[in-house]
Amino acid sequence: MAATTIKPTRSDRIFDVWNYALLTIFFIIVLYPLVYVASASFSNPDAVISGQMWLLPVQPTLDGYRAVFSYESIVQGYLNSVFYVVAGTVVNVFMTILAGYALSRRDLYGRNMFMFLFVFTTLFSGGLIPTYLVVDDVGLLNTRWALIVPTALAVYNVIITRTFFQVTIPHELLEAAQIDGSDDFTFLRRVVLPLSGPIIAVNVLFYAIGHWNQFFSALIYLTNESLFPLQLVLREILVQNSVDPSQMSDATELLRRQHLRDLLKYSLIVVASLPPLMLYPFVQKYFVKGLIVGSLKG
Amino acid sequence: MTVSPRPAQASDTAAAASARAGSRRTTSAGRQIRRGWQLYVLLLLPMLYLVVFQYWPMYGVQIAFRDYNVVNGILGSEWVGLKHFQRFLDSYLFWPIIRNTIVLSTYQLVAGFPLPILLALALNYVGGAWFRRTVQTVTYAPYFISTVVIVGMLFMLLDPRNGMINLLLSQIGLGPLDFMGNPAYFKHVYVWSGVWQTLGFGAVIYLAALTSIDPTLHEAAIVDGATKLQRMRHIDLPGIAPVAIILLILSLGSMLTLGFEKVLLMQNPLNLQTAEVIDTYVYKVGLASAVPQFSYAAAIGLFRSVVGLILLVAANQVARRSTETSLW
Amino acid sequence: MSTDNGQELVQELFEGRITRRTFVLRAIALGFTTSSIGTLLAACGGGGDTPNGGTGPTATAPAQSGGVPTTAAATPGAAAVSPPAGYPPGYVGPRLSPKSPITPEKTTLRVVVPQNAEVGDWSKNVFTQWYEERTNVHVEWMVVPGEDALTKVNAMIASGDVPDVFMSINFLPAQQMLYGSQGLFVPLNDLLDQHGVEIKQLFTEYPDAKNLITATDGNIYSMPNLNDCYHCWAGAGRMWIYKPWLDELGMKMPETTDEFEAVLKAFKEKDPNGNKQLDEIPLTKAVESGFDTYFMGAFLYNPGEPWLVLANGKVDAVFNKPEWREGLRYMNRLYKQGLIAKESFTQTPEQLQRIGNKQGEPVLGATREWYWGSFLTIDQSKADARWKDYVTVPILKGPGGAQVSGWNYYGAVAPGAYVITKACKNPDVAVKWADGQYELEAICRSYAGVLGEDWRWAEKGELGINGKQALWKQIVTWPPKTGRWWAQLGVQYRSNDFRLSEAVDAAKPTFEKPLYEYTKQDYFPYREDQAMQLPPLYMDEDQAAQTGEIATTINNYVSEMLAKFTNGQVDVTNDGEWNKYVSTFDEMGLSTYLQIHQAAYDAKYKQ
Repeated sequence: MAATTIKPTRSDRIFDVWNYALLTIFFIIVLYPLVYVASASFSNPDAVISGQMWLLPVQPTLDGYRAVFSYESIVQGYLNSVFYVVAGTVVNVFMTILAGYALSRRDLYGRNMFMFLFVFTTLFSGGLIPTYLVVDDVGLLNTRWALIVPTALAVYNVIITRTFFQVTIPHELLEAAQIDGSDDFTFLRRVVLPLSGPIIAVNVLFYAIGHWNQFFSALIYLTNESLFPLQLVLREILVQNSVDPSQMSDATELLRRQHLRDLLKYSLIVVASLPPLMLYPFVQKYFVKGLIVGSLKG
Repeated sequence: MTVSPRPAQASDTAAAASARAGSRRTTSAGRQIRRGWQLYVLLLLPMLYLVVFQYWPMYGVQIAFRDYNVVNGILGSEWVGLKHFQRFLDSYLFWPIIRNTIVLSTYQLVAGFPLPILLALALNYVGGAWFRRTVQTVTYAPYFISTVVIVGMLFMLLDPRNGMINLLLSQIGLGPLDFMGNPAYFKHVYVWSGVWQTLGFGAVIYLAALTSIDPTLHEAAIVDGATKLQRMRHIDLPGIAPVAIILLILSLGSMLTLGFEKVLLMQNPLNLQTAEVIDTYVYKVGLASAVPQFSYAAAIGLFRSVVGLILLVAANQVARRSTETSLW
Repeated sequence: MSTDNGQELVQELFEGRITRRTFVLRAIALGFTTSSIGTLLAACGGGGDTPNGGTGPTATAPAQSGGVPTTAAATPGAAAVSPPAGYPPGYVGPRLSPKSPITPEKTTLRVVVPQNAEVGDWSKNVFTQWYEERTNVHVEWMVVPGEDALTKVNAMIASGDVPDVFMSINFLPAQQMLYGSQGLFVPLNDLLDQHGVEIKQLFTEYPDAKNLITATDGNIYSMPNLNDCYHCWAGAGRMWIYKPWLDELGMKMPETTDEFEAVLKAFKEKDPNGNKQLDEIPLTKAVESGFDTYFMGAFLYNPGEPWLVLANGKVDAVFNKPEWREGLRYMNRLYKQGLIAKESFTQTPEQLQRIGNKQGEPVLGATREWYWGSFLTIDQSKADARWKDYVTVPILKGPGGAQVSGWNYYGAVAPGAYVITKACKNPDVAVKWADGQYELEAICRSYAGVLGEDWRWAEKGELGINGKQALWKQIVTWPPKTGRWWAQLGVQYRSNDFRLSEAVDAAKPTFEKPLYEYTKQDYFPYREDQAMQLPPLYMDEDQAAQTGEIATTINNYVSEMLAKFTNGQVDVTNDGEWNKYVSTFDEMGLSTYLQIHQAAYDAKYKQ
C-alpha cells in the first residue's frame, strides 16, 4: 500500500506553510543571540561594549581566542573533559539501560517498591557534606573516578528509559522470545538493545552534555589541578576577571582584568560550547523510524 | 479514522496472552522472584550505586535537626529538633519567597511543558531533512550558554534605551517598557527566557519518542485520508503521552526548586519583591553569609523535599487513576 | 674573610644578578659561615652608591599615611639594608631585609590556596621556587577553587582533611571566631611575638592592624594581608562629571546640592554637547552602585551598605533618620525633573559602559561609579581620550550645612588571609614562612615578577606616584606573565607609601595618579571622624546566624526603598508612607539586630 502517490490535502498544505513559517521564526529568534555570541567572540571587545556590534563582527580579531588559549590549563582541561565525557557516558548508559529495562518489566516482583526507591532519591538527599564524606570513605576523593562514579546514574534518565521500553517493546516480542527458549539476558542483548537506538541516543546526549558541563563535582572532589575539567578552568578564569572594583585595590589591575574579561567572555563560551554542539548531529542519526516495526514483521 | 495507539494494544494483548496461557493470575511471590532472577541481577549495580551514593549519605538529613558545625561533625553537633524549621516559618520573608517561588514555578511549568512537545511535533512533520536538522541543532544550542551570558544578553535586548525589543516596540507605538524595573514583568522575562534556553533541548526526548511510533499507523492514516493535524492528534500525541505524563509528574515534584543563579543575576532593588525565591534566600542567608548556615539551609531543603514528595505522590495517584501511565 | 668581595657579592644579590643559592655558596667559598653571612648582609648595607648611608629612613613624627593612621618607624636595627636608591623621606612600609633559610633541613608545609589562572601551577610558579630557595621550606600545595572556596574548605574540614595552613582563603571574622574557639585555628599571639619580625614592624607602623585581627576573645587567629589603597577608601562614593560641559555652559564645579541640581538641569536642557539634540543623560549609574553613598553625604554621614554607624559608642542605623529622608527628598526632586535616568536602578555595568562609550558626541553628564573604567573604556595611550575629561565632584554641602564623605578607615587589613591549623606540627616555621612575605623584596617579586626581567630597583631620581623617590620600577608592562608571580595572593604588606613608590613612567601616565589626586582633594578633606565608623566586628556563631538573616531582609528593603523613594513609586513627602517605612524595620527585627551588633562591639572595643 504505497502512500506516496496520495496528494496532500488542502488542510495539510496550510499546515505545512504555517509549520515552516513558525519554525523559521522560532529558528531566527534562537539563532540571533547565538550569532551575537559568535560574532562577539571575534570582535574587538571595545566595539562590543560600546554597542557597535549587532550582528556581524566589528574590527575582527582573534585576540579573544588567543587570550583563552594562553592559559595552559585550558588544554589540560579539554583533555580531561574528553576523558570524563567518554568514560562517564559509557558507565552512565550502561547502568541506565540495565535499570531502565529491568524496571520496565511488568512481571518484575516488587516493581513499585523499586520505582519508589529510585524516585525518592530525586527529592531527598543527604546534602553536600555527607555525600563528600561518603566519597572520601570510598576512597575516590581527588581521583578521576570521583567525577564518574558518584554520578553514575541519573534517576531522571532511568525513568525516561523505562518509559521508552514500556512503550516500544511490546509484550508479544517478549513472549515470542520466551517461547523460543530465550532468557532475560539474551532477550535484552539480542532483541531489546538493537531496538534501543533512539533511547540510547537520548541517554548519550544527556549524559555526555551533563559531563561536559559539570564543574561542581570537580570543585568539591578535586584538589589536584591536573585533573580539573574544562568548565572548572573556564569558570575560574572568567570569575577571576570579573572582580568587584571595591575588592580590587590596584587600579591598573582592575582595568586589565576588566578588559580581559570582556575579551574572554565570548570566546570562552564558544570554546566551551562547540563540542556539545557538534555532538548532536551525530546522535540525531539514531532518531530513525521503523526499527521496531521491522522486527515485528519478521 | 480512529487508530488505536500502541500502548493500549500492548497491555490488552498482555492480559489476553496471560489469560490464554492459562497461568494463574496470582503467581506466588516466590515463584515470580525466582523466574525473574535475571532482572534482579540487572538491577544489582544500579541499586548498589543508589545505596552507596544516595541512601548512605542520607544520614546527613539530621543536619537539619542539629546545630551543625563542621569541626564537631554531625554526631557531635547539638540536637535542636525543629528549631530551624521554626525559624524559617517565622522569618519575615517566608510568605513572599514561597509565593514568588510557586508563581514562577507554575508559570514555568505551564509555559514550558507543552512547548517542547509542540516543537517536536512540528519538527517531525517538516519535510526537508536539511531544514529539520539545522533547526534542531540550532534550537538546542542555547542550553549550553552559561547563565551569566544569557542574562547579560537579556539585559542588552531589553534595555529601555537601546535594546532591540524596545526599539521594535516603539515602532509599533507600544513605547519602551521597563522590563527589569517593574516587578510585574519579572516573571514573564524569567520564564520566557528560560523557555528560549531549554526548548530545543527539551524537545529531544519527544523527538526520540516520536520516532518510535509505528510508521504503519501513519501510513494507514494517510491512506484513510487523515490530515497531518489529525494524525498528530490521534497518533503522535497518544504515542508520546506516557513520556509526557511521566515528565509532568516529575516536574510537579520539583516545583519548589528553581535554581538560584539565574534569579540572582536578574534581581535588582526594584524587582526584589517578586524576585526573591527560596533558592536565592537560602544562598544569601545560608551559604553566602558570614558563617555558612548548613543546618538552616538543610532544614529549608528538607521542607522543600517533603512538600515535593507530597506533590509527587498526589500527581502520581491522579495519573494512575486517569491514565495508563504512572511512576508506580 | 674578605669583606670587599663580600660586599660585591651582596650587591650582586640585591640587584638580582645572582640567586640566593649562588650567593650562599660563593659566600661559603669565600670563607663565611652560615651565621656570619647574616652579619655580612647587615654590615654591608646596600653596597654601592647610597648617598644617605642607606640605613633606612630617619624617624619622623607619626604621620598620617593615606588617611589610615600609621607611625613612621624608628630606624630599624640590624638587617637594615636599603634598595639602591634608598627610601623616600618619611617612608612607612615594608623594608628590604634579606633572609636566611628558616630551617637547616628542608621542612614541608601543607598549604591550601585558591586556584588562580595567573599563578598557574602553584608548585611550578617562579616566585614559589624563589621563595622556597630563600626559606628552605617546601610546600605541598592543595588547591581549592577560587570561587566557592568556602564550600570546599568546609568539606575538607568535615572530613578531617586539614592542612597546616590556609592561605588567601580570607576567612571572615565570624568564621575565625567559630573555628578558633573550637581549636581548629591556632591562636598566634605568642607565636608572632616570638617568631615574627616583619609583622612586628607592620604593627608598629599600622597600630590599628593588630587590633583589627584580634578576635573578641583576645586571640589572633590569622595574619593580616595589608593593602593600603588610598583611593579605595572613598571609592564607594565618588561622583564623576564631564568637565567640558561645565566649561561649555560657563558653570563652575558645584559645591552645594542646589548648585549640583542646577548643573544637571543645564545638562538636560541646554544641549552642552552641541549636537542640537537633547540626548544628554544628566545622571545615571549601574544597578550595583548607589546614589546614597554620595548624595546622603550632604545630609549625614553615610557609610553605605550595611548602613550602620557609631554614634558616641552606640551602634545605630542611618536609613531611618530624618536626615535620610531629606536626602531622599532631594534625590526624588532630581528624578522628578528627569535628571536621573530611569535605568539607574536596573542597568548592568555593561549597559552603562555603552552609554559612556557612545560614539560621536558624549551623552553621559554625571555618574556615581568607582572609577572611569566602570562607565567607559579607558585608553591610557591616547592623550585626548574621553576618560580624562571626567573629573570628580567633591562631596556636596547640604541645606543643613552637612558635608561628609564616607571614608573607610578599616579597609587596609584583610583578615583571615593566613591561618595556621592545629594540624600544623611546626607552627613556628609556618609563622616565619608568612613573616618573610612581608619583606620588600619578597613583595616586589610576588607582585611584579622576576627581578631584573620584569621589574628592577629604581634609580636615584626616578620618582614615584606620590612624587617622591621611587623604590622600584616596572620593566615589562604589568602584570607579569602567568606563572611568574603570585597575583596578589599570599600575605603582603603593601602600605600606602609602598604603593605610591612605584616609579612613574612620564611617557605613559596611568590613571592611578589622577585617581589618587582626586580622592585626596575631593573626598579626603571631608571624611568623617574615625570614631563614627563602625569597625569590623567579630561575632560568634549565634550572633552571626541571627544577624545574617535580619541583614539580608533589612538590606534588601533599604535598597528597594532607596529606589522607590527616589523614583517616586513611593511618596517620600507623605508622612504616612515614611512612618510605615520606618516601622517596617522594627518588624524586621531592627532592634535585635542593633543590640547584637552593640554586644559584639562592646565585647571587642570597650576595654
